[in-house]
Amino acid sequence: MYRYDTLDQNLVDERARQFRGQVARRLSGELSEAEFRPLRLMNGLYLQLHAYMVRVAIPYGTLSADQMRALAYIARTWDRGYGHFTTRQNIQFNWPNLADVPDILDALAAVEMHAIQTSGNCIRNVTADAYAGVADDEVADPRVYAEIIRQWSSLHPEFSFLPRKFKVAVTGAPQDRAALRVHDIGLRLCRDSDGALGFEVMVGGGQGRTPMIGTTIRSFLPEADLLTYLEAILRVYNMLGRRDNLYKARIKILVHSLGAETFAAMVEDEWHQLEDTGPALPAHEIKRIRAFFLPPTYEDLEATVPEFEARRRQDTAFARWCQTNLARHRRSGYAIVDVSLKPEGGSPGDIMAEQMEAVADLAKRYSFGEIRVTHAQNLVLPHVKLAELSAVWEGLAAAGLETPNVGLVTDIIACPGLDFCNLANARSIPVAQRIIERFRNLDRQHDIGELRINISGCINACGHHHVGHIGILGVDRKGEEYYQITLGGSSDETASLGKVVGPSFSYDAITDAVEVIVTTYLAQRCQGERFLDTYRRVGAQPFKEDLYGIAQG
Amino acid sequence: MRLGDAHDVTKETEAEELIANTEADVAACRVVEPYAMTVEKAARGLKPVSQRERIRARGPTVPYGHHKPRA
Repeated sequence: MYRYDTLDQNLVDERARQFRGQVARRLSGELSEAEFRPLRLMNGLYLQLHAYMVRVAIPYGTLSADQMRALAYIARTWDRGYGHFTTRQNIQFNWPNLADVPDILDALAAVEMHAIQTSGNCIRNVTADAYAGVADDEVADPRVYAEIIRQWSSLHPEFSFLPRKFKVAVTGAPQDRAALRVHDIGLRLCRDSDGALGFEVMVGGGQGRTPMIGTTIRSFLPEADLLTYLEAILRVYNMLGRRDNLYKARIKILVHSLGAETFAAMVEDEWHQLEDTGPALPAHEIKRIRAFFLPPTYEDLEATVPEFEARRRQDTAFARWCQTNLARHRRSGYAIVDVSLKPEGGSPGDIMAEQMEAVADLAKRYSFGEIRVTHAQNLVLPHVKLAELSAVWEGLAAAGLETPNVGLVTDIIACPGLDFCNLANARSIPVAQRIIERFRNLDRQHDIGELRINISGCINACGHHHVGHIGILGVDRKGEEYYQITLGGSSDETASLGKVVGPSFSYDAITDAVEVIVTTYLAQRCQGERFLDTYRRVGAQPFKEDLYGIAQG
Repeated sequence: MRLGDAHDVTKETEAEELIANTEADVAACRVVEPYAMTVEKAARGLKPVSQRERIRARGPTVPYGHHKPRA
């Protein structure tokens, strides 16, 4: 993992000290809320429906066991004993007192963390494939470049006041587990015909009220040119992005209005001007950063472990968990463990302080002290020996974290919604809970297979509803909650935006509507088809007919 | 401050006056960004018309941390 140098640590310590002074001035009345607001937002402190909320950056979703323990300490000491992992691999604390926030920032700084650039019109926390460094389909570790981008973009003076917020995601694998095509910039590591490393550069994706799939503006960018090219994109956006209309300020609107080809040509022009003056990325610097992400000292292990196989045969619960919550590791004898944060009765992404500590302990003992956060609001133990999967499963079960549903219908992405969020129009969490309860039968979940339900409480789409196979968007109708359904969205390498299937459903009707959709899929599917495959083959019509009747089709 | 402590008014000008009267509380950091909300009179006092304000008044409708929602 990357470790702070003196520069990083000083910057974070200094910012925490600065904010302590700002909070003191706010509490004394010296600063009004209007004066304090931009200062708090620069430190990830929002004012939500009931209280302040601190959003903590987790760079590219990588956490050490010690950092997870610190998050547990913060949750227990200054919040209400839990935290909420978000779709941008961050964690949010929903109930801090303003007076305690400086202590929270100090506690974060002590473990090389902060809340800088988790709000505001700047380059936000860079996200990455949660399986970075361990996926068996990976070309190169994206965290190396995500860290380089983090350093380049941190307090970048030119890009601290962009027209709007800016999100970058990086992956090193052909299978997209980082939702690249719905980011302002998506970077996919690849090799050219000579085997040199570089990036496919996608620009202009995003969700919100105007969802768009990002366009590839360069199929291969040499790795040494990464920062100059990013700088060129940001410059074109910073100059031409709209500042007169909040809803048209994201880069996707600029790319769409100019046309991707024109936008790309402008970036290339700007890039050539930056050739000599832009931020260089010499090989020795890449090598220096790469050294932080070298693989841990794996053992040479057999690909088959008899004790593991035997337990899988004999223990149905363990076998079920293995079926959904394990992924193939690039190293023989190891597995990637997904830890679901979607139990029945829980809130997607929420985790208690005690559970954070349990995960930290398991990571320390069985996964080289490393934890990842996924954009689907789950956790990952990235390096577990097959021979130790039983022990990890038992440890997770003791903490209530053994839910065997990753990728299934109950592995729902949901934003905090109207229960917590100031922007939301409708609740997300209880809708997710009702759907999880409805599909609680594990045999049924397995029969349904891979199905992503994503729920957002408003058009800002923090719950990624546009790219859910089934997307649910909460809307306000005269003060009451209604839910619009979209079908056919996807955030993987075949990214697509869901299409609205018809009129919205009431809070009490939405679970039944989801069940109708699932039943229609089961009736329509061919052998081996996932929900998304069936939808793409048959289209929306059978779903419309079953949801609304043929007359409204 | 609880919903039970709220003043109900019927005219826009009266609502503006209520907001204006919070100035001292805002300056003393007892209140942040006050605003008027629409309420209706129910059997047990005032009830916000919108779901947002009902949740703001009563708290989240779902369990969180060790907390359970009010019935």
